[in-house]
Formats: sequence, structure tokens, C-alpha cells
Amino acid sequence: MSDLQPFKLTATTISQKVRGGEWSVRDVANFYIERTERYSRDLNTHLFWDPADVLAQAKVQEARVKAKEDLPLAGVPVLIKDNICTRAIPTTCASKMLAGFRPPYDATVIARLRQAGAIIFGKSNCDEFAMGSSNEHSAFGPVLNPWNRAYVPGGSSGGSAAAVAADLVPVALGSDTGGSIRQPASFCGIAGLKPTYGRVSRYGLVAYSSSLDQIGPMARSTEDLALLLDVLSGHDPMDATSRVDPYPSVASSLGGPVALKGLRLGLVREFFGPGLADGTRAALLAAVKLMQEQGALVEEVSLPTLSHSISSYYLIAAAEASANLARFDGIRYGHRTARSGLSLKQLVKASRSEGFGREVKQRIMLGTFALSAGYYDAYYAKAKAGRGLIAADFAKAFGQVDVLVAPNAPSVAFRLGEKSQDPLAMYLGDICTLGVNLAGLPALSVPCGFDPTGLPIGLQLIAPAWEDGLLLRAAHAYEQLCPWTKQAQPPL
Amino acid sequence: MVMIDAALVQKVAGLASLELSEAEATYAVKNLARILDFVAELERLPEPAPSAADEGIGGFSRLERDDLAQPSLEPETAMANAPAREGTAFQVPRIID
Repeated sequence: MSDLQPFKLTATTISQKVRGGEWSVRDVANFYIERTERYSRDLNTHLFWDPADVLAQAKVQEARVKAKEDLPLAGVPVLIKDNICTRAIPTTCASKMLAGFRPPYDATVIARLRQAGAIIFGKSNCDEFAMGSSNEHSAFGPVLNPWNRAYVPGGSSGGSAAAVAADLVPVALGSDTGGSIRQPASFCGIAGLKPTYGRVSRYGLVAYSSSLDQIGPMARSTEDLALLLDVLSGHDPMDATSRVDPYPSVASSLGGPVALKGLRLGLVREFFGPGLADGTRAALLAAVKLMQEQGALVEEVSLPTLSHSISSYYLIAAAEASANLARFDGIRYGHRTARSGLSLKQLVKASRSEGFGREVKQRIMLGTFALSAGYYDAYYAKAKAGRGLIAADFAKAFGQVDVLVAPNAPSVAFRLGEKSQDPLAMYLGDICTLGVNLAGLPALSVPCGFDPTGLPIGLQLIAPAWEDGLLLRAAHAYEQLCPWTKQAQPPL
Repeated sequence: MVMIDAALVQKVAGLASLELSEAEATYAVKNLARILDFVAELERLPEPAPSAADEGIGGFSRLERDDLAQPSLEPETAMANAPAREGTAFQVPRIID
């Protein structure tokens, strides 16, 4: 198995070689087990890791490979963000509230991965209940950025992003409520896709903000993003927001740079202002120039209402979180206080106060306030108005161009601790990603360079709803122009 | 603009079924005030069009399943996370209100 080498493998290659009989599922699993054992503790990428379970799964999938079943992800290790339910495998949402919880069922995405031949390769660290942009809000400690361990990996899907960047797995699942796949992908130098809302089932995703949450893939190439998207997409009767229409394969539609010829790219003017770091701006404009040289037509577009996205997002997400997390009362769900002699109300309060971390409490309180009598119209209703305007602005922009170009964040990864005591500063850094969730659009981050300190920069592309295929074809075409992005290796 | 003070924070905490330590309350007063001050920029937006933001993003309609019986979890599987049980029943703390 000498050809099993770090940073050389993709999910697409693994699946092909396993199905072709060149590699065994067990050998691939052992290769990634060794890497996970060696690096995951230092980076703090994993919240659950059981190599014995991995090998048991490998045995099952090996038998299916030998039986020549149709397995698009034959033997592919997939790390799962810890807010996605996995049967009998702990699912904590990086919270003390759910410590010890082993779901009695698989989320639909997990069932689809298993059916496709994948190996569930542990659970990844994240911000508590996916609330955060740095992975510093995990109750189990922060994840470190493999490119520089003094920096955050981004969040909330930071464990998935750092693990893929360090090649502890070829691919992972994250969830993106306000940028939680794209921003950590950008900070860690990998690719990450937030699909159109409704394309991938949310059944089994522990709800944070139900009108915004979306599960998506993270990988080191857009080809692997497409491979996973094909497996994950599709209607699920268990999720009333999942669309019924079938989806043609995206992976088989990827082509070369020719996909850029005549493609109308729109640079979102509001994101290229003075708040954007010089290194990020230079890398993005260089990427745009490359695409232009291949025939893409580039123009500036303006989405002025994006200035309302932080306010709208944080009110709507917090309001929905306050309702979704009400179920964690120590009786029906979650941690129960050990204090005795309490009334029912005291027991619920004590359990919630012990189980939730500071940021989760803050967002629950913000949402409770925004929904409370006397303030609903001034806050929640206005936030919904902002959301409507933002969606309308995107629709107007897509009348002019096919794909929008933006950064994922105003700068590269920041230092651990730099923003953790200032929630508003942390929220302001999400400006580039929130609008996409408010409008339900597909968007991705693909690596496009490094800043002078050696930290990765990601290019965000945004497409109209249900045009996930167009989005991936454009990103894949760009990726062919700079193959070095897939070969970059962090200094482990 | 609303004034955030300790009394309001404690009231909201109560509505959210949370109890805050003194340090947490101080943190909440400071940061909720800053956040609400920031989001006050939405005040200048017009009233939303009726239910414009409620119709589902992505342009698809909400679906309902047929009302048919479906398989459910086996009792032992469903009980696996019970902190305490009696037979196939979840045991919960005695309510002393």
C-alpha cells in the first residue's frame, strides 16, 4: 500500500481504487486511523474517536464491495461534525448539555453515507451547538489551526475543517447556519460547500436555527465536494423543507476551465471595501483575473442591503435558537442537575444553566428578548424585513450575473483569544457569509492563496438557489487553473 | 432604544429558564446592550411585506406526509438514554411544586 500517501488521496480516488480491487477498505481505514491517532489530540479535532468501531464498519463495507454493490463512497472515511446524530455514537454538539448522549438513530445524511459505502470516522469538535466563528466556544476546548496552532481554525465546523486540512480524513461533514462551513474551510485552506437550503436533509441535525441550518461537505477538492453532494442530495420525507425534485449528478458534470467561458462573474462591491485585508483582496482579485483570462466576464455588482445581514441574522438565528433549545430542560433532553429538593422550575433552570456555555446562553437570551412581548415588532419583525430585502437584492444581482464572487471573511484566521471576549467583534467578522444563509442560496469556499504570514485564503462563490451544480463547475474550473491549492500541506 | 440593565437581563434570563451568576449577568448586561445597540440599525427598515419572509426560502412549498403509521424505535433502543427507568417507563424527578 505504498501509494497510500498523505495529502495525495482524494475520496474520488479511494472509492475508485477500492471498487477496482487495488486497495482494501481495511488498508485505507488503517492509513487514516494512524494519522488520526498521531495528530487529532494535539489539534483537538475530535470529540469521539473509536478505531475499533471504524474497523468494524470497514469489515461490513468490505463485504459489500466484494458483493459488487453500487458504492460511490466505497471505503471513504468521513468525519462527522458533532451536531449530526449518529446511531449509538456519542453526539454532544460540543456541549456539556449533551455529554453522554448516544442517539438511537442515524441522521438521514449518515444513513446515506453508510449506504454509499462510507466509513463514519469519528465526530469532530465544533462550537457549542454550532454557535461561533472560531471553535473557541466548544465545551471541550478549542481546535487549533493546522497551518499555525496559535490561530483559530474558524467555526463552527472547525474540527472538520482542521482534520481535512491535516489529512486525518479526505472528507468531512459540517453544517452552515451563517458561514460555519465556508469560513473554517477558508481559514484552513480546504474546500467547503453550503448547499441550497432544502437540497440536503436536516433530519438528525441538532437544530440551531431551522430556517438557516444546512449540512454540507468539506474536502480538499471540489471534485470530492461534488461526489459527496451527489450522495447527500435528495428528498427526505422526514424533513418537510427538503425538496422533492431529483438532482442530476454534479460530479459527472464537472469539466475543465471551459466552464468559465462566457460565465458572468459579479464582484460584490460591498465586500471589497476598505474593511477587507490587503492580502485577501490581492488573492481574490488574482483569482478573478485568472478566471477572466479563461473567458469569464467580470463586472461589479452591488447588494446594498447586505449591510443589514449581521443584524437580521443574529436576531433571527437567536430567536430560533431560543425556541429550538427550549427542549433541553433536564427532563425531556439533556443534562440534569444533581441538586436535590428543587421545584420543577428550579430544576429546569439549574439544569440549563449548568449545561449550556456562555455563548449559547447569550444567544438564547438575545432570542428570548427579540421574541418577547413589546419588543417583537422592533426586533424580530424588522430582522425578517431585512431578510426579505437581502433575498431580493441577491435575486436582482442574479439577473445580471451567473455567479457572485466574495471573500469568506474580512481577513485570514485570527489568533486564539483575540475575539473570544468580545462577541460583537466576532459577529462582525461574519459579514461575508450570513446573507447567503438568509437567502437560502448555495455557496462554497475554495482555496485561492496565502497571506504574507502563510495563512490560507478562500474564494467564496455564490450561485442562485438550486444551481449548486453551476457553482461547483465554476469552482472546479478555477481549481484546474491552480492545482497547487490541492497540494498545499500544513506544517504538522 | 431599550436600556439594558441588570433587572431586564434577569427578567429575560427568567423567561429563558436560565439563572445567571453575578459574573454572567455582568457579561450579559454589557454585551446584550452592545448587540442591541448595533441591531438598532434595522429600525430604519420599512415594515415587512405581509408574510414575505415566511413563505419559505428557495421557492418550494411546504410538504406534508400522508398520515400513515410508520415503524418506530424498539422500546429498548428508545430507553437507552434514560437516566433512570422502570420497565419501559422513563423515571423523572419527583415534582414538589
